[in-house]
Formats: sequence, structure tokens, C-alpha cells
Amino acid sequence: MERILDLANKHSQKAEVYRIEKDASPACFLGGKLNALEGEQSVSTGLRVIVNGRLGFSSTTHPDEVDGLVQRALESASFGPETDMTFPSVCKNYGKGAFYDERVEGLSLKDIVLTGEEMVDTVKNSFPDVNIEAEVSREIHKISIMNSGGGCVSYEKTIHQSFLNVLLMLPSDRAELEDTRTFTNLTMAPKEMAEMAVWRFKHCGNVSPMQTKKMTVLFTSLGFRGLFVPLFYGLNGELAARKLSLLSDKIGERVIDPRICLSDDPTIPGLPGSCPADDEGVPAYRKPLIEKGVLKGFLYDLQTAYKSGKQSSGNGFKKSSLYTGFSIDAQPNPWPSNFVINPGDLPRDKLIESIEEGIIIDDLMGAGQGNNLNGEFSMSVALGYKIEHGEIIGRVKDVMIAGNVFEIMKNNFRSMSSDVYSEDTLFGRYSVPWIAFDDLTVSAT
Amino acid sequence: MKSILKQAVAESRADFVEIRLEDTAKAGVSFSGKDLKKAQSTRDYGGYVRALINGSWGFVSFNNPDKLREFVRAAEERAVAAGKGSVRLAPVNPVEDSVELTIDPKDDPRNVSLEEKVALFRRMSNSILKSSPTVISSGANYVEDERRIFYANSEGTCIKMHGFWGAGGVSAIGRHENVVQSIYSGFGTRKSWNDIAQAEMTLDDLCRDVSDLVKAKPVEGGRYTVILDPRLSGVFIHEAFGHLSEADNVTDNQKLLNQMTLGTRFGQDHFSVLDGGTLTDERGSFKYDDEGVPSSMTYLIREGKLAGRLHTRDTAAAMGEQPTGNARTINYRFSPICRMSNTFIAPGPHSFEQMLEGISDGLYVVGGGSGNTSKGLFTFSAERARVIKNGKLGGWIRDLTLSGNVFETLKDIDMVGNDLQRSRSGGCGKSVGARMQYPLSVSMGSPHIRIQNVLIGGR
Repeated sequence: MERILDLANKHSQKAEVYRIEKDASPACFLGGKLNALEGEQSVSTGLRVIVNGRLGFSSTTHPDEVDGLVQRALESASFGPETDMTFPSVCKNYGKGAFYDERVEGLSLKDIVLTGEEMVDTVKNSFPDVNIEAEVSREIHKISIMNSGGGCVSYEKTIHQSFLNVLLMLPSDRAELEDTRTFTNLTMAPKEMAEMAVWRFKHCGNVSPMQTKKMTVLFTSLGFRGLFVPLFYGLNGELAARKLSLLSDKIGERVIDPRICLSDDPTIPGLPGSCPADDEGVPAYRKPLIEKGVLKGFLYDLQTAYKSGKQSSGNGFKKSSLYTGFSIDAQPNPWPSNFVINPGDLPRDKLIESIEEGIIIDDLMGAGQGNNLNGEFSMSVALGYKIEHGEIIGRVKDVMIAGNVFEIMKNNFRSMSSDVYSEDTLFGRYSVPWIAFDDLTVSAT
Repeated sequence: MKSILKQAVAESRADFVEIRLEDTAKAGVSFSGKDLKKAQSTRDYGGYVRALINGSWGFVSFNNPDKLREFVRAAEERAVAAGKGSVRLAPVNPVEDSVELTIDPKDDPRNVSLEEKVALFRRMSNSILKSSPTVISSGANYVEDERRIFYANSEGTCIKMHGFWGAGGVSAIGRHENVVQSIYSGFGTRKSWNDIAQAEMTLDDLCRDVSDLVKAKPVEGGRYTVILDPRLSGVFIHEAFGHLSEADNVTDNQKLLNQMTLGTRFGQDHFSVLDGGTLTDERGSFKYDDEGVPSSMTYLIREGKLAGRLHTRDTAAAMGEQPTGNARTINYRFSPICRMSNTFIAPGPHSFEQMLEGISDGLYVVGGGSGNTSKGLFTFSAERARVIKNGKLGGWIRDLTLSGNVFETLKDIDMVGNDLQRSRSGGCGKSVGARMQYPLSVSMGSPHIRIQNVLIGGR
């Protein structure tokens, strides 16, 4: 890293090197059986340079490449975006800190296989005929960031990830559930996921006929995926600066129901997006985004903050689009670490009991494909259940919901569960309760 | 390099072992309106070892081939820890070969500097933006990969492959009152920069179409006779049917497997669907797949009946069928899985005019095709459509989705055009377990097709 930074410094005004070393061991189950034990032992390096007020970037996964990397970054700086951003001068080695769990590090290949088998068996015991894909992974990440301003941040992080996909083929159609939970520490998540899958499929036997009408809609933490994308667009600092966010210029205004608090929080131990610093070395901290319904701020990385005349909120993460995760060849963009919504006041079961007529939404087809800039969502319900008189009476199919996330959070909010769930989705990571809205139109198609 | 790989596979004690090394030079340019979002070239270098012991796979990916022996051991260790499994490999003949680039030496895209590439896409994005007051935003993007692969396995196969893929797209986003619409056009090449540069000549059509579209009426939902243009029809056949032909999608699903019994009638006599990597210089073309199996051309549906499916060596053995050369990985971080290559509906006898005749109330649906499919069900959004009244094309309409059950919809294809076209950009995504492999370079092809009784919804 030092060699790369030294060489880059000779030809640029500012430079920054990012390096991640990964040691991962996933166990993959297909058709309910262990299919492969895999592994990744990688090291990847990214370089950003600022030359004559323009930003250049390149990356490599070759362990020894120096000259080529620097040359490509310098070439791209000749026409890169204009900037005079300052890399942070924080210098700290966090080592194996709050987001490193020795118990995760100590998991053997056998432990990982066993955890996966337990998940599969839990579901199979109740539903012998379902098709199950599962994955359990143990990962260790070592991240180092060094820049020409004297900044140097490094830390290690463990990842324990579990994934479950259950497909139930029914006489006329099928029900499918997909769930990924990731923690930096060892948790009971795999077991809970399998138990929740059983709970869900117990309600899938009957199909409840539906007619188009207004009713209560309860989004589970999985179903929240469909609301997350338009919500994130509204809180993206770059879109706010370009006046493309619906929330631009609304800081200090009440934008949603006062019972809802939404923050970006990378400090909570265990949550998958937690880290001591973002991918630009900016120290991570908790930011209230919407507090008691009032808009408090937006998410910024260094470049977005520079262009908008703001400070980075420590949300520069190397992810290039909604549909891709971390990537070494992505430049930092403003993304959430962990989106966190406060718990409500009713246990999950009581929340369901309180609903006279409504649906529970677990999974959606078309999440993220609405007009996200306008806060709009329009999705068909892939997995959902009908509630009548406080009881789940069966599964719903061929229904759609549409609306505007900010309008329903302002005008239709009903209540939230007192238990919160952390989900790791392609779009982003969040920890939220189940959230109910009144009087949403549910369309039968 | 060849001798190092050969030695490493020879030393392994696994029942079967394969090693892939890969060195990819990537370039990417992206504009949103006037703003340059991305202009970079990067290098992706690494490899994997995959070992089969007692019917279970162990797999390790890495960046540092100096430690190849360690990684072979690590893959073996995983295969052993996985215990006894049921994986078998269908037999294939070992191959030693070297596949060279097929690039045009007079118009080599690699000789065009990143700066020139940025300049072209900047001009295109700006030109769309300035074309009309209706256009509120534009996009222009380009990606290219030049990839060298070394592959060796313990059966004696040893292959070197060198390939190039370039692809781009431009979009125009228009607004009229409260209606916002976008139109996209893609292009690509395996050999010649002019295939990319000529896109600059097509921008007028794009800008005119988006200006028409924002003034179009929204669709009225219902059941229609539709004609799909080759672009949408290609996406349809890839997404709704092609994925069902990937053997790994049916092996663990008895109900789907029954539906996919070879010989079952899927369409009318004039309807055939194929997939194969053997076509010259198409986006999904390759000589050997990522298990070193020669690519082939497979009839998936032949004259209306299910005729074949796509295999890796593993799925071919499990189902007692022949390998088809469809084991593919997007890069060295992933195990090869069963994927499509160039998928297409074979051209039929009908002209576009013949299809229009006899439609009293229908839709000509064009472009787009983002959507979801799952085990036989599909929902697609189309870019736009034109009304068909009494055999004549009318005005544009917008905001439409097509949905249905693929097994029923394929039977309702009553006419197949004679004008096959293939996509030259874009990629396919597929996840196995938790990991998504996207984008894999494939092509999707079709002539115009006519389908009866399609459920059209609004947005």
C-alpha cells in the first residue's frame, strides 16, 4: 500500500489507497443437501487520485501490481469529475474491535455445515416436500485505508451470514420465501430464520380470495424491502442537492408520522453494516435522519458533500448500484450503513390481533422498480397473508399494492411491532420492526 | 503458465480437480445527462480451484497464484469436509487448445483510448439532452472486458482463451406535464469499434420516440392479441422460458421436472427455440464453456415440442443426458453453473404485414422487458406499444405490463416472423443460493412474434 501511495503522490496532489483482504468460507445447500463447501481468499486494492482538480480512480486484484494501477488512475483523472475534496486525516488502527467476534473466527468448516443442516432440517421437519436452498458463511475482512493527508484507518470485521430460500409447490402455483441475515457476531439468526420460515408456510395452505378494496397493510421486515428503495432515494444527499429528492429543502419540517424515527447507525454491535469508518476513512457515527417525523439530514460521501457544501456523514461506501453489493471497482457513493427504525409498542402477535381486516406482506415482486425519485412504489405481492378479525386466515395471491412511501408514512401510519429484525438485502441493510398502515388500496388482479 | 497448472492438477489427490486463472482488463464509461458518473479502467486478476472428492465439491477462489498449491489443498480440504455427496460428472473428451481473439485489426476497440471513449459517450449524452425541450435527462454508458483465461483439469483438458466484449447503451428520459418516460437503445461488439461508434447515428430516432411517448395515453388493461418486437420477444423467451431450460432449475423440483418432460408439446408447429455458444462473434458465443466442454447448438423446443435442455457436466450426469457446454461463470469468484449463451426463437414464415392482418383490436408491443419470472410465471414491463385497430397501426400508448403463465402463453404464439434479430448488449443474472452472478454476457434473439390472448396491465 505504501508503495502505491508513494508513487501516486509523485504524480498527484492527493491520493488514497483502499485495501480489503477477505477470507470467506460459505457452505452451500441446494435441494436441501450440501452441494459445495466454498472459500475465497482474496486481496483487492483501489486507488483514487486528484490531479489538477480532477478525480481519477482504478482498482486491481493483482497482489503485486503497482505501476499499472497508478497509471490507470492517473489516466482517468485527466477527464474525471472536478473536485477539491479533502481526504480525512484521522489515523487509527481499530484492530479487532467492536465488530470482530472471536467465536465467528473460530467456526470450523464442520460448524458451518452443521448450522446449515439444522436450518434445512427445521424446515423439512414441518414441510418435507419443499425445495430448500441455504447458505451459511463465515468471513473475516481486513480493511485498510491510507491517504496523502496522513489519514490511515484499519480494522478487522467478522461476518456470519445465513441465507434461506424455501419453495413450496402447491397444486396450482407456488409460494417462495427468501431471507438473508448477516451479523458481525455469532447469533441465533439461522435457527430463528428457519423457525420463521415454518411460521410463514403454515399460513400458505389456503388461498384467500381477494377483492380490490382499502384495508390495513402490515409490512414485515422482509416486505419492508419494497419501501426501502424509495425511502433511500429521498434521503440521498446527492439527489437532495440536485433537488431531485422529494425531501430537498425540507430539513426541520415534519415529513412523516411523529411516532417514526429513522436513523443511519453504523455503531450498533452485530449489525451487518456496522463499522468504525466508512470506505473513505471517515469515522462512522449515528445520524438521525428523521426524528419524531421531522427531517434532520441526508446521507453524504466526501464527493457529494464537497459538491453540496456539506460535511461527509460517513456514508461513502463502495457500491455502484442498487442491484450490486460491495465491489472493489466501485467508487464510494452515499449509501446507508444500517437503516434503523425505532421499535413500536405492540408485540408482533398483538399487532396482528389488532387488525380487523388487512394483509401481511412478506415478499414483493418488482421492489425497487417504481418511480423511486417520486417516492412511489408499485409491486405485486409475491408472498402475503390475509388477516380477518385479528387472525391470519390464509395466503393471498394476485394482489398488487401501490403508493408513495412518504405519503403513507405521513397519513396512513398505524403502528409498529416492539420487536425489530435485521435484514441483509441486495438493496441495503436495515433493522426495522413490522410496520402497519391503514387504508391502503390492495388491488386484486 | 500452462505447465504450472498442469503440474498442480497432476499433484492433486482429488477424484477430479480443475483450475482456472483469469486476467481481465475492464473499462467503463457512464454519463447521466452532462455529468460524467464513471470513467475508469481496472484490472481483475485471480483464479479458482474446484475439487471433487467422494461426490462433493470444494471450491476456493484467490488472487495470488504463487500460492496455488495451498489453494489446491484448501479446495480438497473443503471437499473432504463436505462428506459424501452425489455429484457425478458426465464424461467428455479431453481437449488441448488455444482460442485467439477474433478482433478486427483495422478497427480494434482496444486501440481507442479511454479518453476517446469518454468523448464519444459525452457527445451522445449531451446530444440527446439538447435534442428537444421534452427531454429532461439522458444517459450513455459503455463497458468492455478483455479477458484471458487459462483452464486445466485432471482429465487432461488444457485450454487458453482470449476474448473481447464491448457493449453500450443510450437512454432518453422525457417529460410532458406529469408524465415521465424513458427509452433505451443498446449496442455491442466482439471485434470492431465501429459497432459502438455508429450508435451516434441512431440518436434522432430515440429522441423522437420519447417525445411521442410522453404524449401517449396509458394502456387500458385487458386481454389482447399482441405482436412483440424482436427486442421484447428476445427478453421474453430468455427470461420466461430459457431459465426453465437450465437443468439445475428443474433437477430438485419434481413438479417442474414433470412439466419439462422432453417431447411435451409447448407450442405450435412453426415454433422452435434454440440456445448455443457456437454462433460467430455474438455476445453469448464461446468455443469452450467454463468446464472446458465445447459449446454446441441445442434445440430447446423443436417444431412445438420440448426437445432439450442446457447442462453442466454435473446436471447432465444427474439426468442421464449429454453435456451441452453451458457451464459458465461470470468470473473467478464463482463456481460455473448452468447458463444460457445465445438463446433465440428460430425465424418462421410470417411477415409483419401478415401478422397485422386479422387483428381487429390489438397491441404492437416494443422494447423494454425489465421484470420478474419465477418457475413459469412472468411479469414484464414493456417500454411502449402501438395500438392495432383493424389491421392498422395507430398511436403510441405507455405504461404497460405483460403477465401470464409461460406454459400457456407459448402455446398462444400463432405466428413467427422471418426477421430474427439478436441483442448485442446487456447481461443475464442468476443466483444459486445466496450469490447472484450478474452480468453474464448472453444474447437474446427473436423475430417478431404474434401471441393471442395476453394479459396486459397498466402501471
